[in-house]
Amino acid sequence: MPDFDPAKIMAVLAKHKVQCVYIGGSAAALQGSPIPTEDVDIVPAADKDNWVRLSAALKELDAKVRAVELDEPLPFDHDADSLALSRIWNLTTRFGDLDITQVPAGTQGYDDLKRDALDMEVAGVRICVASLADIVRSKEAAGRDKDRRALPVLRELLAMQLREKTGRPPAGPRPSRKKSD
Amino acid sequence: MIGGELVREARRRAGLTQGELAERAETTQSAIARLESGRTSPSFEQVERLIKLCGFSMIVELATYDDSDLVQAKANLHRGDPAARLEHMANVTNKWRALQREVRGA
Repeated sequence: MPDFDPAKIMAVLAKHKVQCVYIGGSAAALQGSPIPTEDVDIVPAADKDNWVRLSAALKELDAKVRAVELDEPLPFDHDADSLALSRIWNLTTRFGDLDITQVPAGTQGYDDLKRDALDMEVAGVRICVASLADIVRSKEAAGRDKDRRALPVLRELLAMQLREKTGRPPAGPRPSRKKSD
Repeated sequence: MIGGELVREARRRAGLTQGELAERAETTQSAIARLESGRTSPSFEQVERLIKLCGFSMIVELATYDDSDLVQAKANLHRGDPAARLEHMANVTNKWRALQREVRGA
């Protein structure tokens, strides 16, 4: 298994001008989440030209299919049409795992996520990152154990962002020295 | 969790616009916008009602407050730019993997 280097995956996708929104644990980490993750999740724009660019990027990344039942990642031949046929691709690349999802749970896909996405520079490339609110929305809808584990701190981070915008005081616990009952 | 953010999450999951939710709630789009942005603070009952109008029910549970993840998150926010945070996360992941390999090999 190669060392996980998400910035290099992002650099290759940017080099091929793949239009996508980053979501999931890596996108959350960019915004302060302390929960480690082992993959990069993207939601690509679903037009033909973008699938062509994504296919070229995946070739450069030497992407292979990964699945629990496979002893080794499976090389696969792909082009724009075959990539567009599947709603989810779980891949492994030279720089770690890459998951491609057309419509993440709780969202309507690329256009829905792009609306509130943040434009960031990471290791010299511009990327489009889903807002924390949209990451929370997606993880809440997915409802897997690993998503539920991440939700409390993501919600706290989101609340911090909102407090900064609105100037409202934090709503955290107020420890008391007295027991009231 | 700010109630307005929860309403926004339910509305977006339902694929509704603010105007469509306002119509269901018999209020105005601007009232929904103010509530979602945190400019007004809705009551618990208001939040619950709006979430129902989006087709969801709100399940409330109590859990012991644990800020250990939040403390790490705050440290990440002070870690400089997003690239530094991503690099830190990847380093943590790779160190855990190395440790797991070592344990398996032992």
